[in-house]
Amino acid sequence: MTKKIRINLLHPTNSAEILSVAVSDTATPKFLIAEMIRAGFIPQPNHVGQYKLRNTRTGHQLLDDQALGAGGVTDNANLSVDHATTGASPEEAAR
Amino acid sequence: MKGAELARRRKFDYEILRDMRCPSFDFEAYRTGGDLERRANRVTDAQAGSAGRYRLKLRIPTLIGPGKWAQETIIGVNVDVADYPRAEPATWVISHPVPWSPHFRAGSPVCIGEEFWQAREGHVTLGHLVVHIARMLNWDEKGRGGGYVGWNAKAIEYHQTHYGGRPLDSALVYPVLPSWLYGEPDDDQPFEIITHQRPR
Repeated sequence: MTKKIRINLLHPTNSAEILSVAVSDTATPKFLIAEMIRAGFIPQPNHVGQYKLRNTRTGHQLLDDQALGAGGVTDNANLSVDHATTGASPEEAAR
Repeated sequence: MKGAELARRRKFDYEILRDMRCPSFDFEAYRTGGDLERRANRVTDAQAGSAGRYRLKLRIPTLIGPGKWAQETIIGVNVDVADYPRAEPATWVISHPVPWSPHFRAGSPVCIGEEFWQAREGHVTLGHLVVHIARMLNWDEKGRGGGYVGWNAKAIEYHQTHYGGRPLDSALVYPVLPSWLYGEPDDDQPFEIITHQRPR
């Protein structure tokens, strides 16, 4: 049975900017990232980057397609939105 | 990209903008620059694939001088450029006076930044451009680095002095990209924004 939880999403470049949302515990990080982009909280990632969510309590990065509940995310959790750059040259990473 | 493929891309851009119409954004599409200037023969939804020029109307209050405001800005966009969409569309300010900002200048392209379009190699749409320009008009963008002055160092200095680097309106609601752009919405998956706490 799903339940609704409140989570706090910390902006990737300024953790003082926080979006608090109510979502299902079956929601995935992939879904949350799409919704954050749609809401204008974060921009589209650049072509060599992608967003990841990290539980600030455990320090663990969440899997893109794993439900929040299954990933150990509970009510009032703080999730840091990290912008990861992969496979980029130093020049691209610096953009 | 050309021929039928380019027409599909133009239709895609048009439909994104069509579904973004809201109190802070509206647009008109035309086939040619002449049509746009005369505001004649507007492209209809059924002709979306032929839209080559746009007249974007952004109702975003913005500075046009120290303490002076404009309630809306009209931006021209030309997607009929070589290598579109890998190459960025041509942009210019149609309305007067021009926003008092490092990114806008009369007779010049809007300074959207290489990282915004060129670096994405076509994986960006006119919808994203609208949101980007709306944020620039509201001085709500992540900085382009210390020392950036663009076309107007005085405006940057004024904004820093009077707004401390913050947006002109922190509560402004921007145009939103259509949800279908990210796949079909799932009614079982709520995403209810409770609060949006911004740094002071």
